[in-house]
Amino acid sequence: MYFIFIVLWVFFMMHRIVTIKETSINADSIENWQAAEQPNSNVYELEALNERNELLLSGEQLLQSTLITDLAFEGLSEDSLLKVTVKYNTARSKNISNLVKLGVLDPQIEKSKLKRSASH
Amino acid sequence: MFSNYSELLNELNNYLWVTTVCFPIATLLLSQGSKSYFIGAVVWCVSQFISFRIEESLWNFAKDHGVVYWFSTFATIDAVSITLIFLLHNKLKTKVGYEAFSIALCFACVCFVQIARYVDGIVLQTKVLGTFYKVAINTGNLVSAIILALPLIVFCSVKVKSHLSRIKVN
Repeated sequence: MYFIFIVLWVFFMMHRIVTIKETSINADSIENWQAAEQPNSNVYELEALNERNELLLSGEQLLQSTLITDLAFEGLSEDSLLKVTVKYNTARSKNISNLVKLGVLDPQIEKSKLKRSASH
Repeated sequence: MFSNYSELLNELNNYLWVTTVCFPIATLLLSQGSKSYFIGAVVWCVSQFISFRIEESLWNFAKDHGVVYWFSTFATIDAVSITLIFLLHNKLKTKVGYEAFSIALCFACVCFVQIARYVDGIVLQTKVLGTFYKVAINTGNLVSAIILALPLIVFCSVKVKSHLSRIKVN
């Protein structure tokens, strides 16, 4: 009688071990499915890239619009062009520093760009 | 050939206990093996240790009170070991790896062999499983030792392969 109980118990335990194996795999697959539903880091990077491009574009458009307005009011004299250029450079550097602060632009790359433009 | 195999197993059995303890330690030191592997290894080593400790006194007890105690004790140890493997995996919420599953299967086989030997020798009185019993128990120990060595074998094979590929590149 005791041996029959042991045999049944062993079969029951082996069945439970196999069931654990299956449920763990199922849990894994559910986790994978949930992970697939969630946006992963690559998607975030892509979104950040789009946001970065939009920010750069809007900054450029804002600069262009202010420059065009200034030119429209000041006329195309040498003084006004110089003033607008200075204003453009100041606004551009401010825009870049803001984007660097926001983490959209890489400070090292921007520094190297500045150095390159200064050497030219 | 079969008698040679039996003798070989008997000789190996003396070293198997040491190797079954050494393999998990080496695996731990090399940072190999899963949580499931260590659960299986710990349960196997503890059950082997208990079996070795009680073997002599149990044999003396069984001689006086009946051989049923001999077989039932070892069958119970095997059943408890399988239960422990299940409970530890359940408690630690770990997926049962192939090592722990194979060790549980080994326990189950050894447990059935104990019961089969009792039925053959005491209940039916046929006594045809005498040699099979010894060989099966020792083979179970050998298989478990091989299973416990598997992460080390895989680790070594990967190292050797990477070394050979590096030699080829150079």
